[in-house]
Amino acid sequence: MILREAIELLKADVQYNQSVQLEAEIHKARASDLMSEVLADDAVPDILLTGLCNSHVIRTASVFGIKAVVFVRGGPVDQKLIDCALDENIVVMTTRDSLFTSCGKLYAAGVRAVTENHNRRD
Amino acid sequence: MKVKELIQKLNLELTSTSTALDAEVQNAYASDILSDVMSHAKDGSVWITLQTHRNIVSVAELKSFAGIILVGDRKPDDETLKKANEENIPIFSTKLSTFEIVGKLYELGIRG
Amino acid sequence: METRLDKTLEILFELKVGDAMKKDVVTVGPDDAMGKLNEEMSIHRISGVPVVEGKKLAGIISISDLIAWLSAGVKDSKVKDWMVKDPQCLYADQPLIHAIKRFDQLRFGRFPVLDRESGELVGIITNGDIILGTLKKLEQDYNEEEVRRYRASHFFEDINADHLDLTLAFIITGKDFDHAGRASTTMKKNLKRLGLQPEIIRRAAIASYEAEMNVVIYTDGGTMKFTITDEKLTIIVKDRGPGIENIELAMQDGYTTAEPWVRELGFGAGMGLPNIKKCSDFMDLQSVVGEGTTLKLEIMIGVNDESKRINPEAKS
Repeated sequence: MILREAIELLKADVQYNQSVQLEAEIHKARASDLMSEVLADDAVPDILLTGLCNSHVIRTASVFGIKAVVFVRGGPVDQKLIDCALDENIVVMTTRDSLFTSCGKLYAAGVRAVTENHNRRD
Repeated sequence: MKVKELIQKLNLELTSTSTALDAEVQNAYASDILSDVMSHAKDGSVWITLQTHRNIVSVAELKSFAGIILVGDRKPDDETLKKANEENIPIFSTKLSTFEIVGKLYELGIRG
Repeated sequence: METRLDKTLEILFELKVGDAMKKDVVTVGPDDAMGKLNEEMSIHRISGVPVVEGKKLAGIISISDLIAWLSAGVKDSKVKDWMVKDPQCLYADQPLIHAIKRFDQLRFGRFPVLDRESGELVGIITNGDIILGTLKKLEQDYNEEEVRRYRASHFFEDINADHLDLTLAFIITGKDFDHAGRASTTMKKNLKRLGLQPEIIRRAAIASYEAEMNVVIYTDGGTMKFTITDEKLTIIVKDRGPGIENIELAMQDGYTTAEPWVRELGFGAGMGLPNIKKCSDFMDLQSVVGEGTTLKLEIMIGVNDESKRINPEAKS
């Protein structure tokens, strides 16, 4: 699916985006509240879902090359976080669904985990 | 769905000695932030997390969770295991990531 | 001087219909019932559907044909009774500018797109697809141009010396979680401007971010120094203590001394140092308890020179 469809599915409020980004394909997702876990992965997901709500999620996404972040359970995202998203050009959205429900809905719609396809150098 | 059905359908590895596997599970909560789990998870849920330290058992005990599923092939720390065995709380391990195990639980009809 | 408009026109000539069209096309067959067409249109929220027999285009049917059928009140009608036969088409290899002219001349909402050789239906294109395709290409070109404009190779090629390096330094404030990560994300942008390969930038960004978070979380503050030569990127992170008691233990996956507040912020899972090692080609960690820690990292940036990679495990 494309990001625009994922947004509809999660009934998400988009907090920051550029319209072209909404056409990006979403195949692989990652769900975690620990950013160092995300950074230690081998493959980059198209979307990150998290219950952790601070600017470091955006910085982690930027550093790791993740284009879109979903904050679950309604966020809330503050201005600092939005400013950071603007700086790093990361799509930010919030959904009222829990992490469990958000992941479940995306999985049911065909999105898969990033770990299923390891991208190791060896 | 009963906990033991989940074990079988999702190929979970039981790491603790708990015998409380007949509990009915309808809900689940996925989070790695303990305070979030404490304030938002429904009692009786299965909890999906990557945290392995002993505090997870206290949280599970307080929220009467049906079990804890550790993702990414994580195993409970020794102290965690000891405490889980004392409290008779099942701790499972799966090789899958949070996103994937949640997807599969959702497919089985478990809801948030 | 080239203006943006010239650039857009150039893109419209350069991009082909096949680049901008939608490839997943909802189609119906000539013998399908009109009722089925009605359903397809409302499910997919589309206003026109190509009619396909085998892989060949037999016609096109739009919402106005559907309305004509509904108002005629004929039940059990088939698509072939209402479709437009031999519709106007575009070929996938035609330039987008051609498509724009045809939209302008004929005022159609959409054109089926055919493969010129096989004559088979390969896609469908609307005005919206043309705009989106053009915007995507513009953005892509713009990013490439931006990177080209500041290439490191220019820097290193245009300035002559026996040895040349560029050093950028940052001050890291301890326990200042609000600004933590600033040095690494700023540095990531700098490296992009310098034209380093994306894979090198990613590894450097991850390693420096983890290192920066360590300084913020565990120490009273310190400095980060990035030195770039034409051969490698060296990152030196120095802090003012308290120092690491057991380096071997600290390097173990999952070992952590993080306090609960750090964990609640999503860090301190004991993955930092192992991850830094994974991202670098060389890593050296020296620490004196009570004084401080110095972390030195190297990432080889020699273009396409795999032999210089000391750490074959380093991830891409």
